[in-house]
Amino acid sequence: MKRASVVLLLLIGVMPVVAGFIGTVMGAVSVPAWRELLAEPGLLHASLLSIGTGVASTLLALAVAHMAVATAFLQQRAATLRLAALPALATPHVAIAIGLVLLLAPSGLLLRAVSPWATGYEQAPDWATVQDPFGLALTLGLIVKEVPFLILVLLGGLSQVPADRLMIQGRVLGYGAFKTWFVAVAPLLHRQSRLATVAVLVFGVTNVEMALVLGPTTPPTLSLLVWRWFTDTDLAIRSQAYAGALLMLLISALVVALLAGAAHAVLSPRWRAWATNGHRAPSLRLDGLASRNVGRVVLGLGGAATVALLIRSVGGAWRFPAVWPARLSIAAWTQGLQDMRAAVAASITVGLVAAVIAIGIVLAVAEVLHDRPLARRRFAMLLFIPLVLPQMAFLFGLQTVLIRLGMDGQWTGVLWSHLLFVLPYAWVVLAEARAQLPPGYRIVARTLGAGPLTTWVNILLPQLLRSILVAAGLCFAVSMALYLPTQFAGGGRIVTVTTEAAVAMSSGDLRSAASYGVMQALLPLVVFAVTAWISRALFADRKGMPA
Amino acid sequence: MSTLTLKGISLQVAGKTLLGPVDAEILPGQILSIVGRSGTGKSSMLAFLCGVLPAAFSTSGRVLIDGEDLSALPPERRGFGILFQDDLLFPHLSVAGNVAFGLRRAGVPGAGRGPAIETALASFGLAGFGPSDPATLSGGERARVSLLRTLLSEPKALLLDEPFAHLDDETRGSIRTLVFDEIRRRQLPTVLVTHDAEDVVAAQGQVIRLDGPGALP
Repeated sequence: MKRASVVLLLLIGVMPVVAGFIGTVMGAVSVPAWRELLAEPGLLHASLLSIGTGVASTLLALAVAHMAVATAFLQQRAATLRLAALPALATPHVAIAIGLVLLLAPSGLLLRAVSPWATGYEQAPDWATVQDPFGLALTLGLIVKEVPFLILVLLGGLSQVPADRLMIQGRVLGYGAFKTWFVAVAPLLHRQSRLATVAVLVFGVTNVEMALVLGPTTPPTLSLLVWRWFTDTDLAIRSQAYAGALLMLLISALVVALLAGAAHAVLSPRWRAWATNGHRAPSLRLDGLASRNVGRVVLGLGGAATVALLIRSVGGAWRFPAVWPARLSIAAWTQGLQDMRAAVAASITVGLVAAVIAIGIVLAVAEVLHDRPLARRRFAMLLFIPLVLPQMAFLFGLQTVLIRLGMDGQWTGVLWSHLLFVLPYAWVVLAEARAQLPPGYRIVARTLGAGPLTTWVNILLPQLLRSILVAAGLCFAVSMALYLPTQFAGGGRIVTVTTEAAVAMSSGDLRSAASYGVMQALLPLVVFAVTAWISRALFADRKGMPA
Repeated sequence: MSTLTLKGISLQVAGKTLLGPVDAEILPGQILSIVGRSGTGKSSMLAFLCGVLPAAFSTSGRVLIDGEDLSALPPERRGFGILFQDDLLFPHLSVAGNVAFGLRRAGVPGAGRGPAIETALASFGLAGFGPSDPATLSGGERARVSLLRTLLSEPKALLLDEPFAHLDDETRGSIRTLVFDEIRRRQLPTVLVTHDAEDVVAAQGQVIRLDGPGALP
């Protein structure tokens, strides 16, 4: 029974990734495919675009997140920051990307706001502010989306380190708050966020959904090239796509290794020299107004993108440079809701069922491994594979597996592919929450006469309910945002609001894209709000409950 | 009235003997004190006695109450009560709920439970505390609820894991007196693990000293 839950989790969460990866490798075993891949014009350019946007966005997002967390902690506003980062975390990549287009495009809200009185433009200029050839818009989009994630990861680490006492120690030794933070506390947080950083980096280098909306087109990023080959009706080009997926894996591995090496060889010695030089300057360059507010700006941009979605979704005709649509019409929405029904239903059902299954399995395994930290760590490494591997590297092969099982294009296939990405998040929240319950509760309950099941249901489960609700919200939001897994497993027959948003965007229907974007942002927020409300109502009169 | 017997108990972890062999016979109302620095396996000994030792340990020896070997029984059927240094009141239940969880085994039927719990609380100076949130109680009050919860499960023997270590100086003495008085009044054979010399003196029983891995009395 105990072993069954462990086997089930491995079977559902790890086996498909391994099988999919093997499938991709098999598909790429072809000399002509590699020859054609390497002869592809613009391959180098596309690869450099992928690497450049991925690396730049990750480093900048990491810097912004660290500044935001440092500032918030020193101003005792960590809780506020967490609250501010949550909505952006819940908003899927595609929605953020569409919102940024509505904001930044030459006909977007930002330029409308200053036209024509400041710019003199009576017509939208012919600028490439999105889909620019250097991938700047793509980089910005990735930053806006990943900063809230990294902020929440760093804040999570903050609860594991004695930050308050470390700060006092540094201040007493005569150092300013910022230097103390970056010498004594930030490195500890960074160590705990390394895996998340790798996930962000690999996603940045290899993602399709953001590059689709914000990235350059001729040539596009490597990820888009490979995606085009894979969706090409000419099957001869398929093995080139497999080879391309493996190339992306190689590139991401190389980038991760190079950045880790650079951090070790260049950054660490400099940081150490700075940390131990004894300078107790009262302020740092980092302490300036700009760096203290950069987190707010990025989170604000995410919020503004969501607002842009909302305005565009209710606007009909909207001539430049009017800041507001000529007519607001809910009619667009009532018609839109009809069109969106299937996609919304698929998003909600897949998201909820994936969350329930993931939470159930993880709870069972967490119970088996609650007093075995080493086994838990190994399990976590296995479950995190889908997050640190380029998605295409195993989704290509996974699709062949699903076809064999007759699950491609089926609701169950989409559900399974979502579970691969939902399970690690359920694990992060619940396995630790279970392990942190004092072991004495179980021992006391058992010696008081309760059997194992009664003990779990009556004593342990109630203390995990709040974590379960958090996990539910997170799992739902993760599922909602998934683009490639839905495309692969759904085969175009199962559509969600995320895939439909991308379709509407590429067909140039901004209003429809905005409506789907609003839906994408709204559904996870509703789930977050409901779970937060239940969490507060549960045991409201019990102060000693774990948060 | 029960007698607790420990026969040749030793614990090994990763092939090394952590503790033992320990032999002792603890008569009704007597307290065996096990003292030693941290890391000598005192708490693991208690975990072994009540049957919750992690699988990483290998063990030998037997535990008997009134001659009955408990080794094959699950924790809920061994008849031990246990008190830790933390009171471990279940945070999601009220004070009465915590006590009721303990009373379950005692076979007091449905409707009789409420008055039984109220009477028990009152006898420990906790009258009217039933509906309270445990988190709002003082350390001494929480310790008393915890003791009451354990006693109402009518254990045949008691295990104490540094039970007074987290109490402040004023309450420690009174709670210790209360616990030890109850042990003698109910004639419970008890194993006490502690590093507080005052506990050992007050226990007035046999003493086993552990001074490091593999050490003997």
